[in-house]
Amino acid sequence: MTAIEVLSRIFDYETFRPGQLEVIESLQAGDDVIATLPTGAGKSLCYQIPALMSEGLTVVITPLLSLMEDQVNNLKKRGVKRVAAINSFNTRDERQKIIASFSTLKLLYLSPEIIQESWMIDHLKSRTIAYVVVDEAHCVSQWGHEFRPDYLKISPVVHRLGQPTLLLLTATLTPDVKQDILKHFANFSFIEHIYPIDRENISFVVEKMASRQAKDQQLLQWATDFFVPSLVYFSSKKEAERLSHWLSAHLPHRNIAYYHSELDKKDRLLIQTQFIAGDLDLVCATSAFGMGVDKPDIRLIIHYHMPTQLESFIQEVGRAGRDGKHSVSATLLGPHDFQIPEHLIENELPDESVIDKLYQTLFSSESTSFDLMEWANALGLNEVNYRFIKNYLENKQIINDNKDINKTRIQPQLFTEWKIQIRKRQRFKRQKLMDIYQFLTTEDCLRQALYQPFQTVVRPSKWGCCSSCGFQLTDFTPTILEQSNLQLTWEEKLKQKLLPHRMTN
Amino acid sequence: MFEWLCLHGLNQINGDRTLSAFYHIMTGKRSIQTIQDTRLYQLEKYYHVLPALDRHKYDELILSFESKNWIKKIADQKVIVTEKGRAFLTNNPVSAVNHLLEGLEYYLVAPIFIARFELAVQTYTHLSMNQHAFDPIQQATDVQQFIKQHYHLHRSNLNDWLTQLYQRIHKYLLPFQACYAEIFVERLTAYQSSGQSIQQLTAKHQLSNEDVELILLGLYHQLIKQIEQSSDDLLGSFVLLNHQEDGLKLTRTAAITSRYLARGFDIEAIATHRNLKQSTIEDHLVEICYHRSQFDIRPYVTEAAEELILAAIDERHTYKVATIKQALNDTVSYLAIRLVLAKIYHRKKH
Repeated sequence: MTAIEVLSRIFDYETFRPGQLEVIESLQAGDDVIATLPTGAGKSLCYQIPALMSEGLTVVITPLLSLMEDQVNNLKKRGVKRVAAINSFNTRDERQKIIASFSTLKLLYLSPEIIQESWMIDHLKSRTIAYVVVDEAHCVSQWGHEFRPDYLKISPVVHRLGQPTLLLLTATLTPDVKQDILKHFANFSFIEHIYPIDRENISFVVEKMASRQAKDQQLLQWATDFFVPSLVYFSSKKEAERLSHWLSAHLPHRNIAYYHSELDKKDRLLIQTQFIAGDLDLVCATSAFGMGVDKPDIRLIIHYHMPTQLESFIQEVGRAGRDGKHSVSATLLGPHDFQIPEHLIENELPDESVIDKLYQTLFSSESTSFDLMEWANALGLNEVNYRFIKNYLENKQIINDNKDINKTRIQPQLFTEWKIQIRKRQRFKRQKLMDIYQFLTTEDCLRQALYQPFQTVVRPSKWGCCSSCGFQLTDFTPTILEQSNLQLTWEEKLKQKLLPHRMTN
Repeated sequence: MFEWLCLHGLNQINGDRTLSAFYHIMTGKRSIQTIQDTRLYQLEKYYHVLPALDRHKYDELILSFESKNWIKKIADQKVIVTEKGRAFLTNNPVSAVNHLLEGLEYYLVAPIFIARFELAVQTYTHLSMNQHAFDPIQQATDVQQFIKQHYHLHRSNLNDWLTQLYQRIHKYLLPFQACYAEIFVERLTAYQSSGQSIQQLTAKHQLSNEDVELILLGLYHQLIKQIEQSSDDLLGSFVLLNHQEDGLKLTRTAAITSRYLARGFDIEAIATHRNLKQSTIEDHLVEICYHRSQFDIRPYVTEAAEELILAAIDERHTYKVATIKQALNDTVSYLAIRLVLAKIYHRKKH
């Protein structure tokens, strides 16, 4: 089978989107590739197709657990059964099942922590590795918007696997991040496939609001004016719920729901499916929503709260208008909105006093071993903080995997350097926040301000550029959804659900 | 209903235990203490009926009870229901849903049955329309495995099976109020008709999340009951568990203790052999006693001691172990009191 045949037979597409075939062909020629493709351009097909066409095993490293599951389910749905995902959430049973079928796997998704474990490396060494894919490759860089220390350990592992063909993938790549990544994978020579991430069919609107009440009213106005598939992003679960209820109360004809990480798995899946199927037309969501939601006709993306960096904003608005039709990104900017992400940033890294305490504890410890997890729990540190600390301690060989303390490494200057590093990182995060704030408050072209950091040329818009360039929401004339107002009894509904084969005529 | 249920629970416990006790019962904590409490206070119907209940939500409800003067604090974390609260309970007689619940009876079967049922509806309605690609609503592999096997038996007459299922469920739902039937039906995911989430059902029917969950669970409990009572139900195989895990089985560790007892070991000897504390073995004894109405407590409680304990319970109107012990000036052991309480439980049951 050729690549195009795999595309149509398994994935049900007739043609490749820009960039896909180029990446596939480079990989199949044995070249290492670094690629950026816009969100929704089918990044995963770039490696899934060569993986299915090759003899060996393809390993995909991705930090996003939900994405792993979505991809595995999606492939299984299409009849590709020899796929699996291993991450820290697998049960022992699940893991054993995967290991038992290891020799027949074609595609294996791994979290960056798992690929470093020696038992995993041993298993991988027993197979011929066709490709190693590093998804969200910007996580390698200190200057990426989502630095993940575990990513720094990927390149040594790839070496130990005998240098298989490598694919680095990301949606957004600034020049400094790219440089960092290339430095990190210095032993590889990459072919670059960099595709523009700007979206010609999306118009941008930023509306400055005086208060929370004013934001609520404006949101209601937009939801009233535009009966189209819409997504509203929030940074708080509570607010997402509040406005979902509020909008539902005011707009009984619309089907509205909220979505965040605290809903149980089944309900999350239901809401995604309903939104894709059109049973829901507006979802109030946190950033947890969207991964794996491939809905072509989302017309309106509203940011009730701003995200903490441009990259997230680009990802989120990128979910609009994948069918190429005119769509709008509208952001509500309140007077105090800057403080919410500020607060989020503070929670992301441990406080300096925590580092001081840790030094004290280790320094005065008489035991030769140290249980960091226990210590972190006692202090009430969150998971992100814990992983951050664990990584540093292991990297600097202060503590090894086996919880043994290396007394000679407990030097004050190592801990001082660490605090400086944290301060730097916080400064960097604040800078990112400043960037998006400047973007949202600029008087100049929003499209230019958003995409310029990521690509040299920004293409003009197809239907209307942005609120700075004179676009207004009154210019937006999308196809309005039709209302179905059938009131069925439960008996009719039961019949419809259980006996679809009798309902067709 | 949720409100009624919580107040009812507190009323049954009557200040003998802390507020956590009923929370643990509703969330189905698998500790010996909770299972004993469930039985002692006759709250079997409500064991494990809201496994995901948020503690804050429970605490908030308790606060609202307090502000309505429905409950009165008698000690830290202990409350009794006031006259006003009792009036609420009697004036709002047990709502229909509370009659439907059979928590302790079905807490192991129900989740498995529901998962299988939902996946069968989704899978078969899709297959009957020749749709082979869909996102399975149930991800657990053993559930998927079950449906796979079931499908092989019915693949040639799938449409007939669905017609029978329609008749089965229609007949089952008919006696209930329309709102209940509607919630049950709307929750189902089928071909081109995805189920409603709890939040959607909540908004549509103007109920709380907990009420919707209790209604769904209650309807499933009664359905399972019907299926179990019939010898040839269409859904008969859906209630059979693979590894026969009986809901009323002893915890593993208590079962081991029970085997030692059968071989004539006493508490001390078992503790030494198993390298466990004596008090742990005593816990096992109490658990075993709750399970077996025929359990002989005489080796551990003399007839005279039992009489004393029973008298103290009558006099003080309490099941609180510590209070009873105090009333008897510490002349009887905790173990003796707990075993007598277990016996009372069996007597009440009959």
